[in-house]
Amino acid sequence: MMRVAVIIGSASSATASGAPTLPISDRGAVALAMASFGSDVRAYADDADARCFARAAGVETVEEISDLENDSVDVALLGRGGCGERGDALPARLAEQRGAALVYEVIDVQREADRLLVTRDLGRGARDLLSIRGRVVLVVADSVERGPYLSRYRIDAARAASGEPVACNAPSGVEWEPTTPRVRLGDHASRVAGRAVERMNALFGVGEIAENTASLVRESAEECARQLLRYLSHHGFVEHGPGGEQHSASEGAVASRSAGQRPQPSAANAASIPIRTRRRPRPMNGHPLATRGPFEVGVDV
Amino acid sequence: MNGSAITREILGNIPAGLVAAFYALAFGACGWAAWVLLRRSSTRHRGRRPAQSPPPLGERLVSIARYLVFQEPLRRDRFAGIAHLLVTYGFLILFVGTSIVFLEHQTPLHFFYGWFYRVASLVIDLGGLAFITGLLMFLWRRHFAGEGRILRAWWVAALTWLLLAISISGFLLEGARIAVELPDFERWSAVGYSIALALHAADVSAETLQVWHRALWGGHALVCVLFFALVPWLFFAHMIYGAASWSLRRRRPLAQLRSPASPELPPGAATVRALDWNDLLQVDACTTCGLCNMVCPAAAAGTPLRPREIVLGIREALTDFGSTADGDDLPGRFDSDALWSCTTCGACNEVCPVGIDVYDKIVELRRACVEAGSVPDSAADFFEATANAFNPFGRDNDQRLAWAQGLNPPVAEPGEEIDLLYWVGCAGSFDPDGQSVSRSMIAILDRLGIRYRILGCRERCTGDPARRAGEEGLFRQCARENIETLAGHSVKTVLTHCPHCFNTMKNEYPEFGASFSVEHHSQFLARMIAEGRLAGMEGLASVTFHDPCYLGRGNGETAAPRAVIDAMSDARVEMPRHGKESFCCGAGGGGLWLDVPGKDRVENIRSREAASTGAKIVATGCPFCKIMLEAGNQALPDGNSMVVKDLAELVAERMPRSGAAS
Amino acid sequence: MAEFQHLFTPIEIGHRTAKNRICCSAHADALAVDGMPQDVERRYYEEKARGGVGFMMCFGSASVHSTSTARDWNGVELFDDRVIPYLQKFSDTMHQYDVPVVCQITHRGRRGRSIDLWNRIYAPSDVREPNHRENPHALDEAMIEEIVEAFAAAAGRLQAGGFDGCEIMASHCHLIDQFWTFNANERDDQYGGTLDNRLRFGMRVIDAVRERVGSEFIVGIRVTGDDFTERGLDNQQMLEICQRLDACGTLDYFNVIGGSAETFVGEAAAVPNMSFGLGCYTYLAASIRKVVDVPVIATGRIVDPVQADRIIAEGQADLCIMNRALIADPHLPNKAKAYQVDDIRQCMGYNEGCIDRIYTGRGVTCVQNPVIGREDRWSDLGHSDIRKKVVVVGGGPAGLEAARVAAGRGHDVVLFEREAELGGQTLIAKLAPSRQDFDGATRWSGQQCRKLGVDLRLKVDADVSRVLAEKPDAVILATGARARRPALDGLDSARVVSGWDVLLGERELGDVVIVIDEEYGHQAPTIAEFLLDRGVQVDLVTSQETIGTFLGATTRPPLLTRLFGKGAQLFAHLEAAAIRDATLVANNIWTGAAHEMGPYDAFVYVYGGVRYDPLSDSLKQQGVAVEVIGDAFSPRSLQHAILEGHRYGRKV
Repeated sequence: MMRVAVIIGSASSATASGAPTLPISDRGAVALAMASFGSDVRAYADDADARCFARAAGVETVEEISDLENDSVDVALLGRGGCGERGDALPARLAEQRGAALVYEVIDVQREADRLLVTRDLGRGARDLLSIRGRVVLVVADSVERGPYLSRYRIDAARAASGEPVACNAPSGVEWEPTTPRVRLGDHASRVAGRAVERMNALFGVGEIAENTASLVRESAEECARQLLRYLSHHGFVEHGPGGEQHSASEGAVASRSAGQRPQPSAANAASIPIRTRRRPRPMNGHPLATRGPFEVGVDV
Repeated sequence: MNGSAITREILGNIPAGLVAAFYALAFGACGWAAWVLLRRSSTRHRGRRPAQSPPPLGERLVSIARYLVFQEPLRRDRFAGIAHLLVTYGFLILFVGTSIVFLEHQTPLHFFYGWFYRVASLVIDLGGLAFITGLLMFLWRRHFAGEGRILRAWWVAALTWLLLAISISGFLLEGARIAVELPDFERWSAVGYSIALALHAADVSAETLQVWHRALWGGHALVCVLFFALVPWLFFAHMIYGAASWSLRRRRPLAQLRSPASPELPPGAATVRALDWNDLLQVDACTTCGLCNMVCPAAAAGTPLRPREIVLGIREALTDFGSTADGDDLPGRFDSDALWSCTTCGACNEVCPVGIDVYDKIVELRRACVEAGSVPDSAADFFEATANAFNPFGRDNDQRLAWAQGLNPPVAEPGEEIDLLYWVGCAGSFDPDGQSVSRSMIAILDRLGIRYRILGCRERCTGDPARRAGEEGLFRQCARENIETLAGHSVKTVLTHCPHCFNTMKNEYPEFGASFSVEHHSQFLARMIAEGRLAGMEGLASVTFHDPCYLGRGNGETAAPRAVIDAMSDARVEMPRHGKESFCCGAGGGGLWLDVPGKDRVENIRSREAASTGAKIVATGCPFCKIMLEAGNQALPDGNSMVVKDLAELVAERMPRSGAAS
Repeated sequence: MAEFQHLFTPIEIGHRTAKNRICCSAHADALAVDGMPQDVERRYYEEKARGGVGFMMCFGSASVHSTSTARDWNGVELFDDRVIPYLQKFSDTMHQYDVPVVCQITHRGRRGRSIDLWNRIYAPSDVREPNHRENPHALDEAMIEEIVEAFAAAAGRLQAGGFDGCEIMASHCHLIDQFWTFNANERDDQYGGTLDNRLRFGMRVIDAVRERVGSEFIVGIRVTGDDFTERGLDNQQMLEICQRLDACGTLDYFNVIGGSAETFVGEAAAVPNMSFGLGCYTYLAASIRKVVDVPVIATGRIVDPVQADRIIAEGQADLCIMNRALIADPHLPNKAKAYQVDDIRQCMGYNEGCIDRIYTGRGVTCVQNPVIGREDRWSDLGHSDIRKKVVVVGGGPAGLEAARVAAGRGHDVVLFEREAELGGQTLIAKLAPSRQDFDGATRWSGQQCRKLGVDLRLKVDADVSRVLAEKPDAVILATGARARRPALDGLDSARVVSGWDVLLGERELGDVVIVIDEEYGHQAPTIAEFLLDRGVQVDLVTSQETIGTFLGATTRPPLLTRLFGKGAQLFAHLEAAAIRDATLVANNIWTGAAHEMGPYDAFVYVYGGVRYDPLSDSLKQQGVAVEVIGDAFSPRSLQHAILEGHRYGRKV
């Protein structure tokens, strides 16, 4: 018969998050031991909560950790909590006293006929498979697979059966932290998409994705119609009448595209906004209004 | 023609040997059916005794009578409801008619004379017509309407066709009988007489008719016998079990989960034997109608859960168990994702026409999983968080007052007697969306000048998520601790904005010795509005209200939140599914943490439904719903098109600043 | 419960607590003397601390190294131990008001300027800076070591000077984000190429600073959320960068801005003015808050406590920088907390008093709030010993400010305004697109006048007898200006309209219009934009080198972007000489050559104002003490008007 020991730390000591709980590796050690060795397992635990945990997990013999010194053990499993305050000194001493192999970062144990197959986690997905004969001390890693969940009913039943006292988890003093509302991103995706110049133009209120409602014309229907006609004629969609007033909605016939002498602004590229050369300043050499000159140089601006 | 002539000869044309054979077969079939039913009920009685005793017999009989006469539970699906009503009444009439024929034949009693015979003939024919119509409606739906929820097993269709065969052969038989002499009074057998006229017109000879009659009678007798023999077959059995199940259905609020039958035994249904006998009776009552699948949010989201398949699976286990000595691993029969995707919204219970407590069984199965230790990591995480940190979010419980920064709500001194305790809840304390609800509640209470206390860091999870996820032991621990804390303050009333806390404390804590009243904040706000202490809040944009399952369907409170909204907005619109038919947000039953992936997400489905109303604001009365709807809202195609708010937030934003301290 | 509950919930930043979520950003204030924060600057920040700001970041672009001086903006220089006593005095003052105080530290890299102290300019690569066009020298390893050490040393000096933290500047295309962006980093060594390499310099700075100051000291970072340049740092890259920075666990907060500030448009985008939407960069902060674990600060046109509270409530950010809002009203936090929302003088985003002025090296002030930068003299309005009767004529910005200040000092004030509405010329200016907020100043002072009991007589055309009837001890004339009509041939043509009339509703202008800008400020371009929005084709002509030459670095680029974006044509260097039928004749100001332009359907002239003062002479003859202020004295800017109103309101 193989004598298997599982060493569990304290289930009542507070962890970093402030909640007292048994480390994953300790629970993993118990689960691994129970899965591979069943009724051969004896558990050694620091406190009553941990002992109840072990009983609930199905370990029949549960002892105080101080009893460990006197018992002879072939296989010892322990997790981060089992090492506890003693640190690595405990597994080291166990291995030394018993002449046992010492393996860290264990994530699985399989029992073969006369040996153990131990899987060790080397990090970054790498694994090491060790075949071990003889005595062994296994330190279980936090990356061990989670064992079966132990329900409160089982733990309470174990506690009732053992007569262990109930540990009291009294909350300590009041501290506070700020409320942190969840981020709502809204139409964020559309605002960070597109070319940089488009995003910048949108910010400045021009361009394709501009949402500048400020520049909307809010006027009477008559005025809006007039502006629409002006727009249409500006883009060569309707005949350009001799005077503004000649336009009326009924006359708004669509002119042929070829009639549009005015350059069409290209919506695709803001840089191609047309320069209407027809209105460029034209030199008036020798004109009486000129303050100086005339100059013979090709004056232009 | 005098009255004595108006009658008929019973089994006149049938040879005596055939009649004897029929009686033998018929009684044999009935006996067989009775034996099967009895045997089945004996296996059922191996189920556990329910923790709660069933309602008194008188009440149950009244319930059955009402159920049969009005068939209220069926009205949800109008087409099926009408079809079923026709089939039921048709069947009852035919059954009574056939019984009279039997009495006429085998006893000295005589009924079929004169006017009674005429009227009876008409009634029976109309009953038969109704029966056929109803069956045809069912068959049309099965074969042509293409509804997804219908169970496509061959035997369900076959049993329906069997009933159709009984009724049609009966009419043909009657027609052949009448056609021999074609007496005028048989006009009252409207259908039979019509068939007889047709036969007459076809010039079929009397001898032929007699042969046909005999043959038809034989066929009719055979299918009838077959029917009797198949009554215990689990589709027909709903005629018996359905009524029983309905009469035994839950009287407690829908959201109230029952305690395990025995506190000594491990909770949960590890085997069918560990279920209540009530449960076992209910699964036999399932008609496979599939309404539960149709309303199930987890099914809609494309997770593997189909509530009907859970019920039928238990039934299957029960059938298998009948032949073996012991039950097998019941949860092992189901996909574990199916069990863990239930949101315990209770829509299946609400919709079931035979009153099956569907989600309770899922919880029993979860309890068994928990005892066996096979739970998803997400569940183990929040169980451990609840046990160690006293809140399922796993946050440091000492920071439970974080949300209240700058508000300084009155925290109860140890031993102080409290009339009104505002129970903040874990979502209200730790979740960002919930925190704003608690802050709004404090604002409302303060501005109304109401004297109240909060527990601060001594508040702990009520145990609701753990219980619904099957961790019964943990729930009991939470309940005991909280009740002890509250008893220490002699709390009279608990006010909470969380329907889950509300339900647990109101319905489930009394079993553990709680003796305080519980009010949900929607009820409190509605009361304040009714008393005139909250006014001047009109002018809110269009609002749609999402009924939290644990408030609306679970506890029947659909009016109070609407009263609160109506005090603020005259533009309340309802989603297609609202009130007790509301659709879950996906967070219940530990769903917030379990989060079983499907093809879609429950909250997205619900948010799309809310968006379809065109409302600007989606109001709700539950922090969990708020979290989920907010997530769903974000997933809507055009971004934040709606605002998701709790009732308290809406009220706090709109109530007059001056403070109506009274 | 506080009304702005989210805004006034405390928050932990590093190991310090901010009592509310309102921040002052580390901004250039141009108030340092000789690179040291002295009394004027201290008083400027103290007023904000008194006003209840929750988190005080200060000294924008405080320099860590002599190759990046801060003299062009009169900033603070941290590369010498002599700054420590000044810092100590500064932090002691701020700590009286229970506010954590944090200083920005930066090296401006190629954005530094060489002509102030004749220092050399360094950058990751020798790529010319687009804005001031100086040529930097590429950094070598030794210089990188020196600058990394300089950052740490500067942070050490801040710690020694009692500061609570420092903010490492990695936005506005300063040295750290110059390494990040391909626009400035063409290196092929371990500081260029892959993202890891480009981040290396910044990571080294952060590590060096953190190592020097320990864990108790706040170390934050300011980053852009999207720099809007083509090869630059878009939101996707910034999310990646911020995630990596946050993963190091050394930073205590992220301060997220938009734009890069190294191009003309970028510089304007960094301090969005009135023409931008409110909270225009909040979405960038929100995106970064999704990927980091420490507090995130949002900035960009957050001017209102309602808006800020909503940003916090929606989780867009953990804190809000309301910098210009705090310049307009340093007491905004306290007023918001007391729910005196009406009393908050709200920033309208004019930028002329603050950032545009700072960019020219002049000390910060506020168009609306002349007390800013003059706290030593004016922070207290005081109370007059003698109660005088004061008559103010004109309800524009100058008159209203004078009335408000005089009434606040305890005088009896009567104000005459001819129109039905208070505001004067601001009512005209606000009609232009992107200037809707322009009447914010007069709206606030008008409302304050009502609260202070000023006797406001609207629709009263004050004449001498009406003024005298009040028996005033003092008369302040703020009668403003009229549009100036230039002396041009052909001005009487029906086609010629004043720009003010265009805004006031003159509609029949035809399809092609030329706007003649001889005002050099906002007027002509905004009128042109007003017309462009109505589908009119607009040409602009000015004798200046461009339009808006009076406008500052954050004001002109948005205007020009919109004008050219909407299709305006600009002809510069041409001075209008005559209007002939449908054409304009203009002379080149350098050569004097005449040019003919057109044809146009209408001509809009914008020549600024001409003072309008019908009363002062008659009143002076009556022996009344008269002060003429604002445009009535001579047409100038809104800032001049309010400043004079304030000054003479005090003087009464």
